[in-house]
Amino acid sequence: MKFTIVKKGLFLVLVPLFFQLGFIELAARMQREHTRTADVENHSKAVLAQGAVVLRTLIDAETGVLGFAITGNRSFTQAFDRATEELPIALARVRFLVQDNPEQTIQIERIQAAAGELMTGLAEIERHVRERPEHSSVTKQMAEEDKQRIDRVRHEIARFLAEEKMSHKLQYNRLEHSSQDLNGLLIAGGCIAVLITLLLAITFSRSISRRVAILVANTHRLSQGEQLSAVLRGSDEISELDRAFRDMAAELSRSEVSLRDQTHILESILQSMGDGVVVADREGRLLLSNPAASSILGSTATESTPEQWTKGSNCYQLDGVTPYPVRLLPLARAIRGEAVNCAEMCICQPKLCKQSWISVTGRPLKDANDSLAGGVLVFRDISDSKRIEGEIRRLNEELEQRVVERTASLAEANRELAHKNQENEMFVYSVSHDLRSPLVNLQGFSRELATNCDDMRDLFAAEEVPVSIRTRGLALVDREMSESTRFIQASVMRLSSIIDSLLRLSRIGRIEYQWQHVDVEVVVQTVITAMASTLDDKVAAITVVSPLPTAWGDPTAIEQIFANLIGNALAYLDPSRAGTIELGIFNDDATDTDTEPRYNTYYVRDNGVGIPAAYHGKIFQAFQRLQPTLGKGEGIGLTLIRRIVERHGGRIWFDSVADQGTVFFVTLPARATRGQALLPATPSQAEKDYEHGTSTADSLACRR
Amino acid sequence: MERQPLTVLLAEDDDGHATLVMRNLRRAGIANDIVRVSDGQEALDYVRCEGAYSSRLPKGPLLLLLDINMPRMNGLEVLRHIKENHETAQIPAIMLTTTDDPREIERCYKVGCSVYVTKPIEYDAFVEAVHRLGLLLQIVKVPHESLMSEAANK
Repeated sequence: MKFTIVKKGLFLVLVPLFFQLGFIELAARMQREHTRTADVENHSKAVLAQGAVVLRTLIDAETGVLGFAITGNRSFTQAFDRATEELPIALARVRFLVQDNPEQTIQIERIQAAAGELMTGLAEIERHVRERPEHSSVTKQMAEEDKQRIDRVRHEIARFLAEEKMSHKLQYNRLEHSSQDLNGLLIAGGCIAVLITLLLAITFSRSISRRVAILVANTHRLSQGEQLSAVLRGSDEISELDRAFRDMAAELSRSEVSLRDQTHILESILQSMGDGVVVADREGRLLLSNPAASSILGSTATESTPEQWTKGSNCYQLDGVTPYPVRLLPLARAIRGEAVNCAEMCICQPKLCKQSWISVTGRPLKDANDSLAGGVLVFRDISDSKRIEGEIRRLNEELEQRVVERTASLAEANRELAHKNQENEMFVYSVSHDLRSPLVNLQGFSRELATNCDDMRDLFAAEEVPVSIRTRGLALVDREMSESTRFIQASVMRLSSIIDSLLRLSRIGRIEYQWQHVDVEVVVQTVITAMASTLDDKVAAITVVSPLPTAWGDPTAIEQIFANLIGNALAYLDPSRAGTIELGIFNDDATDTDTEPRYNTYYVRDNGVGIPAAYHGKIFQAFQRLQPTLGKGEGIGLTLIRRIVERHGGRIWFDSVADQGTVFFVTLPARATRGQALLPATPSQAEKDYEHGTSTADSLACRR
Repeated sequence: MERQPLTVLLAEDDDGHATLVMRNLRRAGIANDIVRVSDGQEALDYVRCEGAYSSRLPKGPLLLLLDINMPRMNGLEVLRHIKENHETAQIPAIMLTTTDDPREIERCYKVGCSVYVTKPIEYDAFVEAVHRLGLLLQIVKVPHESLMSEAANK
């Protein structure tokens, strides 16, 4: 059975209560007994007194009658009269008092009878005296008789009183006894009450208050970190409280241990981390800082008061000269509740003659209720990186300067080259032109000669010419002279062709390009269409791997490129096998796929005779014809198109295996570049559209 | 008013070219007077009746056949001078040159030449060109040189 505090309390209250109730009941009972005994005793007293009254009344009556008889004084009879009146009353009273006692009631009857006889005798005497005062003898005799009667009355009354006295005595003794009992009871009850109270007090102290005191002491011990006392026995709430308290203490100690561990870890991190950490409360008092903070800021800073650090006397902007605005100091901002991200500043430690640059991150410090409790700063010494940055910047500037100088000198060289190139081209142009004039004469006059030969043939055909002369003459005209003029004309045609090539070459650099977006696919189709007949003759197939991206350039020039490459491929096909020519886009710059490429590389592949390795170096040189028997021309086609590609800012190269085939690669710009915008002298519509962003003056300036 | 025969002024520094041109013009049936000068300055002097031609009297209509590459003053300069002066601006000019550079051709037309003929090295083509030139000379209406002067004098 479990004794809870409530049960114990009830027990402690109910036990004395029951006892007290019993005690009160007992005392009340005894009190009632006592009172009743006292009443009986008083009643006996009253009976005795009333009995005495009856006796006295009778004696008065006797005395009065006897006195009258002796003296003859009538006044004595008054007492007798009075007694005659009072006696019945007194007797009635006595009878009333003893009515509950049958023995005494019988005694009263006897007394009354005796008293009645007495009173009657007395009345006889009185009447006799009054009527016959001389007959004293008779009176004397009568008086003797009276003496007997009064004695009998006295006897009866005495018996009555004795009886009553005995009863009174008994009652009195009883009263005395009960009074003693009551006193004893009260004393004993008081003692028992005191005892019970003591007992209860001890029990309470043992079972509750001492244990509660132990609990209280335990809480104090816990708060002071001392060892707890032994476990409290029992099964009541206090024991449960004790157990719960112990569990709580154990839990508390476990969490304390883990908290201590965590704190230790955090402490270690703080101590060992390279970044400086400073924590301040809302008033700006520094609560915490780590060694790194002291080494970066200097120990005076980490020990400074709010008044000291808020002056910001050591804080400067990145130049190390301009004081840092005090209101914007990261710690001040963090305490105001702002977040500071990677603010950079310069810290001067005048004592150490040290200047360091730091990157500061600040955050407001929030307590458990999420209200502002201060600020936290984490900062890092970035002096080295600043120095390196400065160094890099300086090197960069130097490099840029050198690049600018180099670019300038390159541009100068380029201009000179371009100028020289132009001069060369002009020279070639004028030389070719000058060569052309005599050629016109050569050609013209050789034709004149041919005409003259015809005339001479007519002359020789005349009848008057002798046959021998005609025969020789005709032979001269038809054979030697014709042959000579033929040779002259063939040479002239050859020279003319070379000069034309030279002129075309020189013109490549001089003609103005109409810069625009050129649909290479359309251009290629045009070229292929134009070569349809050749294709049929050669039994060759051309495949275009669509789509071909557009190129930025001059449409005519680009057409020339593809016409030349396809023409070459066709011209140098291997007659022993069916020719295949493939045209497509070659993207070697795979990493650049997500952004629009600046250049596109087109290729033209054939399965022709190929180019022997020995000639690879000469392929782009002018007037180099590797296979004079195949095709025609002066061997300037590739030279021309290389010049065209170069003017577009592109590149041309090839890959070839003799007897297997050749691939030519051509790189052309995919969109306008600044360098090309400089080249054309007159802007085309396409260019105008393209350069809508720049002012006309700018465009013109560019083109000059 | 009687129509004066047209005079052709050929400005050509190359004797061979000049001979070929004249021969072929004749062969093409052009019977007009052909005056040949060997450079641009001379051609200009002839037109303006200045220098060596100061005693020349302007007579009849004039047609210019100008080579471009000539010493002292090239054909293009001559053309420009003639077209700048309103007295001579009406004289038709045919450019005869070895160049087929389109820029050159465009420049000539811009200055105001009537026809541009490339002296082809292929002789047949050249002859054909000259023949066409002859036909052109026959049908083109050339203003009278003296009338032009009179108009200018008024």
